[in-house]
Amino acid sequence: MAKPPTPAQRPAQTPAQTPAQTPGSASGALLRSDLSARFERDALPFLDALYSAALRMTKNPENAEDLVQETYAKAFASFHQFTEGTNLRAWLYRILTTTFINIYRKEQRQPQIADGELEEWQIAEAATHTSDQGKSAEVEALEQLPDSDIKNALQELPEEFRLAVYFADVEGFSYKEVAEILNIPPGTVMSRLHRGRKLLRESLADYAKDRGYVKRGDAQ
Amino acid sequence: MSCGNHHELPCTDVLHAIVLYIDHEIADEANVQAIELHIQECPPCAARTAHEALLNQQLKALLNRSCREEASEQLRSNVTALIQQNSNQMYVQWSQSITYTEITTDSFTHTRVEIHERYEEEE
Repeated sequence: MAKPPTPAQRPAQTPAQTPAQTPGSASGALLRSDLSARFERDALPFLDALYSAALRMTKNPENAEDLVQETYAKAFASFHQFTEGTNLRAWLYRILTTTFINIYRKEQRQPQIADGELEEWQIAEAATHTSDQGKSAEVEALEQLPDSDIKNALQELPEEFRLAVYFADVEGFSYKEVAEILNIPPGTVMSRLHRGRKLLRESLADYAKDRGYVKRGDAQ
Repeated sequence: MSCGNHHELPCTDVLHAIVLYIDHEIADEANVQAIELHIQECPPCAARTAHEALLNQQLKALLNRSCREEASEQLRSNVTALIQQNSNQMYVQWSQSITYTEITTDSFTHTRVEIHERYEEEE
């Protein structure tokens, strides 16, 4: 049976430098450094991406930084439960989203749109050959828009649409992954994403018209 | 609405599934093939699919161009510091629980030793 380490060797007092004296204290020190090294190696590369997403959520840099720090703190605290080899990126975004909702939803209640309405909208919209056509003139016009217009247009989308579009079209997550990140059913992801894209395109078209890239009436 | 021709898969079904098809979200390969066959036979559905794909692609390109942000150096160092800080706290908890198991079970101590050795090999 291993003896407890003497007080001078106790790793709690000098965690980084204490040499391994007993199997127990050695594994404690190694697990700690292993976990934090692995976390830094695997999770820290997503800092820019998480910050970008946080900025889309909070809409201002200061809150976005707070949200990212909170997210990393929570992620590290539960990192020992994370299964290596599974989707770390999606896991981090899930924590980011949950943290955002917990902090900010309390403060600002946004009107939620019933998902049933969206399904009906989509069915009516989709089943013709002609709808949403004749907008090719806008395709070139939108490409001239400055980044600030695109960010603003995205920012103005209601949150549920904005996040679905962001996770699918910027981060490239599948519907299933977006569903897990936002904790909503995949069918709801689909309707929010489709509706969100359409609203965003319309908004971008308005920005392009305001800048005179498209003559009013051209597009339709 | 129909293009007037008969297809194995009706136009309305294809049009409902266009966005899923473009997003590669149709899991059943047989359904994907049915849609592709229909698109080959039906110019209006082919045109609609191409148009939707173009719009989607453009939207993605615009968003990716404008929405990539860089975290400040301050944020980066704050996050690094909090990992260090939290890992030290976690360490104290672990060393306590490990001292406890050492006294009670030899086999568990041996298990820990194995973890330790594997870790060194990885390094």
